[in-house]
Amino acid sequence: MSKLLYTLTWSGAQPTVADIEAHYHLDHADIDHDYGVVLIDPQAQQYAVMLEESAVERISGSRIERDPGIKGPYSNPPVEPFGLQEDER
Amino acid sequence: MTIRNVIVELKYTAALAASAQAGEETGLGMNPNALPAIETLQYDPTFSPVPLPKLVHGTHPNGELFDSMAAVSLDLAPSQVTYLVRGTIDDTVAEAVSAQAAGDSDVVNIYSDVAISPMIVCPGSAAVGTDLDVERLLCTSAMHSSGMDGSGVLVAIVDTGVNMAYLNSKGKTPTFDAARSWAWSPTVTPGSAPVDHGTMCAYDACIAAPRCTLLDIALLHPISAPVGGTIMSALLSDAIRAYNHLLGILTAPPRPGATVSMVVNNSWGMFHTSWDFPVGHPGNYSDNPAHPFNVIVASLERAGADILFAAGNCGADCPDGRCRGVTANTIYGANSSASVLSVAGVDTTRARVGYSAIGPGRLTTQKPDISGYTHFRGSGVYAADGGTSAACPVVAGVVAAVRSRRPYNPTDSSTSPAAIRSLVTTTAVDLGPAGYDYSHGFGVVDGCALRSRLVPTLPPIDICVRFPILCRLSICDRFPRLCRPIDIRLPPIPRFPPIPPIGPRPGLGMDASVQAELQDLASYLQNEAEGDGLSADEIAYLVGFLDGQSNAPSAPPPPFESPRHKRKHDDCGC
Repeated sequence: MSKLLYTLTWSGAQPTVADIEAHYHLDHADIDHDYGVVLIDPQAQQYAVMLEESAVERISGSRIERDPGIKGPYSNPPVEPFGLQEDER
Repeated sequence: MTIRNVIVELKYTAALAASAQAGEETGLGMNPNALPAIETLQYDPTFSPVPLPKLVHGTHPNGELFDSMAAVSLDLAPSQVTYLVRGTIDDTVAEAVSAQAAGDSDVVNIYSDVAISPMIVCPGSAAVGTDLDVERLLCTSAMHSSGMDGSGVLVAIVDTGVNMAYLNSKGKTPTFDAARSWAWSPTVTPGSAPVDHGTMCAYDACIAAPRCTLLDIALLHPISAPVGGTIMSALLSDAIRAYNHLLGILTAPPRPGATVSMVVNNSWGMFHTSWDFPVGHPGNYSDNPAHPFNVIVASLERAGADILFAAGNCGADCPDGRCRGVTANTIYGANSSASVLSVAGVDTTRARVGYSAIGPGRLTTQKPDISGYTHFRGSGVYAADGGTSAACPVVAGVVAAVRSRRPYNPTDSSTSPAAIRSLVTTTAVDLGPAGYDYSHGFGVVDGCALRSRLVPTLPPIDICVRFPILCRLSICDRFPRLCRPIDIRLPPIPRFPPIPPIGPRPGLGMDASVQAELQDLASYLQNEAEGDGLSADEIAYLVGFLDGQSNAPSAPPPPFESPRHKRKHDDCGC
């Protein structure tokens, strides 16, 4: 299944994946453990996570969707080098 | 009416010959009334006739075996020379004009005068110059001799990975910090990547910053390409992790004596809006400062990093195929963030390369910010270090060199990333239309100007001219440094106790002009000498000299003369 990029705010110390699972009642498989919980803005205490698309569908209308601190999904486009194309193949 | 520029070839006349001669000497044109009248032809009166010698084809002794041009000579006899003038005709009657010209005994022919312009560098064009040209254009020798060489600065190459062995084999020997490097997969060893795009970027950063400390942030990795082969790629979510790693370095408690200056090079980005959510969607990347990657870029900049992004290769003249023909508004997302320097590309003749993306930017209108050199023979990874990919690390290296002299200090706003961006853009060599433009930004990065700004040359100090009395002591023989320009800043020296006012002791009868000069010298030593870079020894000697003068019993002390350099008293050895 594809994963979707979300952000959340979390006051206090840096949360773990387990913290997020427990707080939002997510299953273990709902969140990308390899990706983890990635700090993106220390001032706003904002973090990025990758959620399984199926989980997002399942929890529609649940606590995670009603939390104003949760935002997403965000675009996760590919990026490529800006070298000359013939050099890159 | 359609106007066509034309060149008109005319037969010799004495008036034409005289006008050509005068034009060569004065630059003036000629009177159009003296030229043959042709229907609709308007001569350019500012253009002086240009003589065109007649080609005479001879006979080669070996017949047709050799190039017939080898037997060509020029006939410069006035009657054989023709003259070129220029003008415009009404293109709708061009055939009639040509017919009339053919029947005019004074006209040889009329030719089209097409507009020409410099060849634009495109993908596939041969390299223009080498990295040695880039060094010369950036004044790297002067930068490096002034300590602007990347020392003490982390340069993060966020790319395909760096091959340090290759860099070393090419003479680039920056420090490599493996411990603080990062890779997209734990199976990848930083510093040992296959020689590719990232190694080119590292090489180009080292042009201006050879003594930097490289961080290999191996983000881009091989995936299957749509048509054949592989290309290096990543998802933006991977880039968020890479930036989180860099943020961790900057926000960690500093190690004793460790640097906090970090320059981050990003020669990559998104090529087409179809890769993204639509503009207006809350999850969009290209136009949305709230996208998590744009957020973390701003966070890293707030933590003190100088972040540079290539503007991209969707320039209108010869865009990358991945742009799918879209060449407007192609500086997407973080590549156009207000928190970064967005870098366009020019070749070593300072001509914009045709693929360099043109602003405005998506997140910030005034993008790109600056141009860097590209499309030169450098790293040897490719035939040319090209794309805005190469321009970006060239500028990143210059920023790292600047940071060697102006390290980041969170308590000093003059060292903020915004201040460094301003410094780099305000010292750039303006290109294209005067002032900022969307093709070149503020112009091409100028290491020479940055060096002058950060390491100003102090005015020459000539104490012997300022204080002629010292000539009597041959002071410049003893302290020759006093009498030559000082162009380096010396470390601060301890302050000396205030020098008491100098004045004649009662009855000594010191000359008033000498007294004034000594007081001037005392003031100089107290207030200016340290700033001028005089050493503690030199100041101490002069203080001692003043003391000796103020306590002198009557006449000035006998002149000090160097045993090796005895000079006349009116020559202080400067």
